[in-house]
Amino acid sequence: MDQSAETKPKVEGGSVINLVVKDQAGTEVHFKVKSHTKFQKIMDAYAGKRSVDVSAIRFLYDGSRLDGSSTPGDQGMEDNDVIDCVLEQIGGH
Amino acid sequence: MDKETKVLDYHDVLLYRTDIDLLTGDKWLNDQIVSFFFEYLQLEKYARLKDIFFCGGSLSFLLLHGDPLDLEAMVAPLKLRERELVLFACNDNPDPSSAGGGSHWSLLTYTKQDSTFRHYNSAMGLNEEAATGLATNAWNLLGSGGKLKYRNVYIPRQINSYDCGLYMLGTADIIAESYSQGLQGADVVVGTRLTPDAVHKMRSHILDLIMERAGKVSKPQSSKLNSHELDVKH
Repeated sequence: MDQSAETKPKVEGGSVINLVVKDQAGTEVHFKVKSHTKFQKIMDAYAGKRSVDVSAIRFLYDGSRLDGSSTPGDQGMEDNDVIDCVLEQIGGH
Repeated sequence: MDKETKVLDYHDVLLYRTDIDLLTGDKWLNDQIVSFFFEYLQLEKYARLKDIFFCGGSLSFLLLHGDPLDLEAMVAPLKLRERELVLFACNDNPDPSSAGGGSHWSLLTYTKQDSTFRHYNSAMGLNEEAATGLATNAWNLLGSGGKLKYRNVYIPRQINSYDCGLYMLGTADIIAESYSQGLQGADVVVGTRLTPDAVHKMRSHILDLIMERAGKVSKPQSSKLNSHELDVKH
C-alpha cells in the first residue's frame, strides 16, 4: 500500500466500524455504524430486530452500562468490538 | 414503536416513566430501579468509599450467564480484585433471552478480608441457584484460587410477595454504611433495621431521590414534576 497519510479517510468523526451486539444465548447482531452514531440509535435498531421494547434493552461494554447519548467514538471502540446486551429483569417475591 | 417518556438520565442509567411507576403501589422492581439506587450509593452516598463496588442487576446477570471466557477481560476496567467489598444484585431469571424475566431479587456480597461470599435473602431458598452460580463465576474474577467460601446470612423475611427488591437495596445500603464504620462480614447486623415498615418506606425514598435529580438534571415534560405530585398517567 502506497497510500499516503494525506489520502487516508479522516478517522475523527466519520469512520465506519462494525460493532457486534451479543446476548447471553450467544446470538450476535452486527451493526455497521459511524463512530459518532449515538448508542440510542443502535439500541433502537437492536430492539426492533429482537422485537422487544427499547426500554427493556441494556448495553454493557467493559463492565459498564452504555449511555444512549454517548457514541462508539466516545468509548474508544474499535472495529469488531463486542457489546453485551442484557434484557430487563424483575423481581418481587 | 412507542417512544416512552424518559424521566431521568442518571450516569449510566436512563429511567423511563414505566420504570419509576414501579415504585408506586406494590409492584415488583426491575433492574433499572436497582441500577439507579446502586449508582446513587456508589457515586453519591458512599462516593468516598473507593474500595467498594456496587454491581447492578445487568452486570450481575451478565456475570451469571455470560461466556466465562469473556468475563475476565470484560470486567478488567472495574478492578474488582482491588475492592474490599463487592455487592451484587442477584436475580433468578433463568432465561437470558426473555425481557422482563425473573421473580426474585437478593443480595450477594464478597468481602476480600475473609474471601467470603455472603447471601442476604428475604425469601430464603428462592435464589439459591442463582446466588451460588453468581458466586462461582465471580470467584474466578475476584478470588485467588482455592475453595469458594459461601454462606447464607439471616435477614428478616419479607412479609409480602412484592418487596424483595427493597429488602435487597436496603440491605446493600446497611452493609455499605457498616463498612464505612469499619464493620464487615459477620460483624454487620442487618436484621434489626430492616423492618417491614422501613423497607416499604424505601419506595417513596427512592422515588424522591429520582424526582429530585430529574428536577435538576433532566428536562421533565412538566415543570411541576416533583415527588409529591407524581403524575402516573402517560
